[in-house]
Amino acid sequence: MVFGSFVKERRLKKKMGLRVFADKIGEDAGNWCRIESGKFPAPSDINVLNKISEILDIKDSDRGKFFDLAADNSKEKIPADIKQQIEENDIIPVLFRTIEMKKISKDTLRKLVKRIHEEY
Amino acid sequence: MKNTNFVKWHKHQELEEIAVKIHQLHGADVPIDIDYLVEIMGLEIREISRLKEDFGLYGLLAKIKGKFVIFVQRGDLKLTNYHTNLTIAEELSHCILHRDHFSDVNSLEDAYNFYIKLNSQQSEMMIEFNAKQLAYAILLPRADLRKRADETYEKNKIAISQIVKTASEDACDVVISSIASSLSDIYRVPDGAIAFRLKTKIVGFKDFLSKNLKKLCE
Repeated sequence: MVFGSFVKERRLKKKMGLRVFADKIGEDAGNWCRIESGKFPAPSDINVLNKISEILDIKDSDRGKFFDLAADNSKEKIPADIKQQIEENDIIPVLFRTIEMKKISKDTLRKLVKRIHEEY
Repeated sequence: MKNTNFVKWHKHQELEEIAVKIHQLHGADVPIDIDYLVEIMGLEIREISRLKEDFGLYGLLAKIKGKFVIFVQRGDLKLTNYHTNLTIAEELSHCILHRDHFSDVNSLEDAYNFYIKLNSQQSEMMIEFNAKQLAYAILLPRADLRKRADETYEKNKIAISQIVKTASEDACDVVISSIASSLSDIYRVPDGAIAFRLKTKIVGFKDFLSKNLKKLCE
C-alpha cells in the first residue's frame, strides 16, 4: 500500500470528503487529490503528518506504518513515466454544464481535453 | 451511439426515493459531505483552473479510462465552496440518472455528437432540470429541511409578520428567501437552491406559508 491510498482509505472510514479533509489539514484540495492518487509526493512536514494522523485517528500501532509510507512516497520515488502515462489517458468529456446554456464548439472541447491533460 | 431521442424524465417522488437511498450511505447528518458521497460511489473529483473563464463551464463530467471524474473550477474554495457543492452534486446526479445515455460515448467525436443531439432536441434542459432536482434533494434532505424551515418560522414570527407587511413582491417568496438565507450555512448550499427546494410541492413549505401568513398578520 502507498501513502495516498492509506490516507484515502482512512479518510473514507471517517466519512470525510476530500475538500473537508484538505481544509482541516490546511492543504489545497486539488494538490491533496494528487497526493492521494500518487501523482504528488506525500508531505514531508512533520507537523502536517501529525495533524493528519490526529484527524484520521491513526492509532499508535499504525502510526509507524503511516510515517514509513510517507517517507517511501518521496519525490524521487515517483515513477518517472507517470506524466507520460497520464498524457496517454483517454479523457472524454461526456457532460458539461455551460454558463447560461452557451453553446460549446468542437474546438473548445479539444482545448478542454488538452487542459485536462496538462493539469493531470 | 445510442439514440438519445428519448431522455427519461424522472418524477419528483422517484428522485426523492433515490435521494433517501443516497442518504443511507452518508448518514443523517447535515451538511452532506458531497465529496465523500462521490468517492464512495466510485467517482472522483478533480479541480481544474479557469474552467469558467476559458471554457464557459461550471462543471464537467468526464470519463477517464472508463472511470467517471467530476471536474470543478479550481479557485478560492472558501469563497465558492457552496456553489462547488452544488456543482458536484449535479454532476453526481447526472451520473446516477443519465449514465445509460452516455455509456456509449467513447471518443471526443461521440461526446460532441451527443452534446449536439441533446442540444438540438432540447433534451439538455430536461436532463439538467432532473439533475438539479436530485442534487437539491441530496444536499437538502426533505424532512430535515422542512423541520428547520418550520423552526425558523416559529422562532421569527414577529420579524416575519413585519416582512409580510412591508413586502412589495409576493410575501411568501420574500419570507422564503429570508429563511433560505439563514439556513445556507447549515447546509453549505447557496440561498437560491434552498429557496427553490422550499417552494417545491414535495417540501410543501410555500403551501404552508400561503395558508399561514395571512393569519400571522391578523
